[in-house]
Amino acid sequence: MTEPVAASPLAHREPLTAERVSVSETAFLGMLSLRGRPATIGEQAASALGAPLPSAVGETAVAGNITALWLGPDDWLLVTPPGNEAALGTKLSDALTGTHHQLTDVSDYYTAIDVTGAAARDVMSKLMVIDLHPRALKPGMIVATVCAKANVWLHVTGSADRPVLRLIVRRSHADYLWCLIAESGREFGLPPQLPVGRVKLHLPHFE
Amino acid sequence: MLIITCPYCGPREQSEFHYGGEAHIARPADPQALTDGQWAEFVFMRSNVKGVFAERWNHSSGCRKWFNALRDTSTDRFLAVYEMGAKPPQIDAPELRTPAGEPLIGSGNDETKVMTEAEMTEAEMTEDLGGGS
Repeated sequence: MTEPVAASPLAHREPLTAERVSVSETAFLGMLSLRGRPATIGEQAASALGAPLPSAVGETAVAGNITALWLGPDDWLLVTPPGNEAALGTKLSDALTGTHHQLTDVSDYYTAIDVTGAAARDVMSKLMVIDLHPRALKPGMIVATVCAKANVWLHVTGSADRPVLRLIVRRSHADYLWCLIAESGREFGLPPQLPVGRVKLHLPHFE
Repeated sequence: MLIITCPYCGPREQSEFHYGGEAHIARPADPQALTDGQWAEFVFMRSNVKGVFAERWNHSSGCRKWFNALRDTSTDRFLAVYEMGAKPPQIDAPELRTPAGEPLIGSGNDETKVMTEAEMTEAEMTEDLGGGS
């Protein structure tokens, strides 16, 4: 018998670190997609989560180890530490029994790439159109947008000086984005990435 | 770069959106009763106006919601965005159709395209001379 093994889509990449920016993957985060009308599910979801669901663009809500991200007027992503998603799913599902809603475990669909440090915004602004300046995108905000043609959810934490830009991306897009971010960070001192094993690098002009 | 204001997310770049064609086209209540011609009319024929046009957009890379918009097709200016299922809002001030104020139909250059009688005679004479040489 073969046992199912959790494999990160970026298992063949080493974290990259420089003085002002570093790039790493946070794999296996628990993620639940919650959909429903706020008027229908708001109260029950708030009591189960311990915090009201965010209600406007860019807002997030933190309750214990759960972060609720606003993706749309009837669409949220609940992010929890690895392994916590089943328990949270059961708790929410019980609380929402009888209401019109959709709750799906999407932990396997996505992975998170963290770009951290003082130069993180500079590295990412080469790949994204939206304004990453702290006056427009403050820590604690979420934005759904495009990064180098791939759809991403950008969740900003940390401080304004030293932000943590967490890109929640489809796992099939993860390597594509990782390589572009690594390439974008070269001018900010990121070391050239080396393949682990025999995985080829997808870079236009790799030295 | 065209900036579109999503009613849920605010102003975003056009590349985050997908176009959904003309808005407010009701599906026939009883498609079986239609002739082929009437069905083709519903499926294919759109108004193609020059001026204010009601159309559908999807913020596919953002909140993934559909919404309606009123856009001036000759200036690409968005006049209003409103939710699916809502009636189009009244636009008070008539918009300039183009910065040059071109008419509703045609290229707007009819004055320069239509030749006067004198011009036509002159053109014929030039042609005659050209053919003779």
